[in-house]
Amino acid sequence: MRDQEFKTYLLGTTTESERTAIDRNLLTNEGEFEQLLLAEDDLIEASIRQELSPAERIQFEQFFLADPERQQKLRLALALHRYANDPTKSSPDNVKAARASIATTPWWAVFRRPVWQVAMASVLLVVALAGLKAFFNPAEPDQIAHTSPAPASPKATIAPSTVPVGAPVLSVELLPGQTRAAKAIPKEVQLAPDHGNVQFKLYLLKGPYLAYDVILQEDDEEGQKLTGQVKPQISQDGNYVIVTVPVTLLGSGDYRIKLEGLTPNGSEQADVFWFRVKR
Amino acid sequence: MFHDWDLTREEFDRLLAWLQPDREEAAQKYEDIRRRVRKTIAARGCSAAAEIFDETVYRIARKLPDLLLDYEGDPALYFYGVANLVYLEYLRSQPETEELLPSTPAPNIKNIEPEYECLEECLNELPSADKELVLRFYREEKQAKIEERKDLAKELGLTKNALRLRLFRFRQKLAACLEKCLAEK
Repeated sequence: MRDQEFKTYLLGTTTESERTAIDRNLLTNEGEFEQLLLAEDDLIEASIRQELSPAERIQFEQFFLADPERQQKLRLALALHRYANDPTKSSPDNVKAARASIATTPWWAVFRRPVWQVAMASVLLVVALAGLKAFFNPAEPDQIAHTSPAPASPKATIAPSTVPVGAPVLSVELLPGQTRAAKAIPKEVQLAPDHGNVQFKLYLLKGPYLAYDVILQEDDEEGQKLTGQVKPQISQDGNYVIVTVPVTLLGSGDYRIKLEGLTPNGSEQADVFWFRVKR
Repeated sequence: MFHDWDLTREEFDRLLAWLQPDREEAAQKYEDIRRRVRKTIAARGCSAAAEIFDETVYRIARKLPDLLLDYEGDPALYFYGVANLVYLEYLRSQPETEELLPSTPAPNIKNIEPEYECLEECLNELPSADKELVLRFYREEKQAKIEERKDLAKELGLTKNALRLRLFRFRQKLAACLEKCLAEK
């Protein structure tokens, strides 16, 4: 329980009041501070062992590692992993284990996973663009969408009503974030004339809640609530929801999908996902 | 927005004396407060926690004579309060993009050659049993590693948490050694 609390604190996903309470404890309680340092090490270990969800990985890279001291901690952990698994450095009784591990995947191989290619491409794009003040830069953003046949039975969808049966579905994965706020180019969704739906796989940073209302907004307009609610799916790569949007709702332009998490007392703002449609 | 560190010796001594009458204890307390306050600022995703703490010290030291008349309570919490204000000023001074998107540290992190070169030297400073323990802890991947760690805890007669704590202490020693080694290179 405490470990989970520290994890969210370190990844910057606590509420302001929770963070302040933890801050004050850290300042006045010796045991608490040591627990936080341990939690930092655990988080670094989890990142090296590829145990973070995509959303956690983003927070880890962008938020947790903003601190140079933590970067140094990560470098030490990486060096230790490399050293411990280097057969030329190990003592004789280590050799067997070291040999067995030499062919194992390095931690950064996580970026070879499709989800990570998408996630990291987005992060790198945003950072690069922000760094170059490229709000006005016409460079082509990466195209991450791909066309696939319509799934027979998606787990949670907001079904289109006017799409021809059998029309191709464009699958797009999005991560919540600050893309728009940073004035960078949001993820691009290129629609072909024959596309029937766009199926968004939206990775969740907050929650998960029991279910979500989904609101599609064009640019800064009020937008429309899509019919039905979606439930979160749990996976090793992180929690997500699937939202299917008929292409008839999407002209060229910038959009956001807002998820509102349902609670016993109503609903509250959860994650927001930005994308740009090109037709 | 940060001042040059131009505190006088007297100002800094007065600050230490406020923390503890004994100078050695005061220095220890100062270091303790520095580590904690720094962490609370870093926990906001801030890359300038060290500079913010320095600025906090500067401001407190400068207004200490007035402060001594008014403030009663744990100095650590006072440092925290001032550090929060400095942090907010820092945020306001940053261009929007930098505030929202901390620069990615990835390119730096992948370059661990200097650490790797120092590591052997630092590991050799540990007693050989401790070195072996560290290496076993970091050996293997995924499930194999979990099993190895279970065996390790069992062999040493430690709980999983006690093993975690012991490794934490070794890492702290290694980190200190590494810092020294890197500075010398």
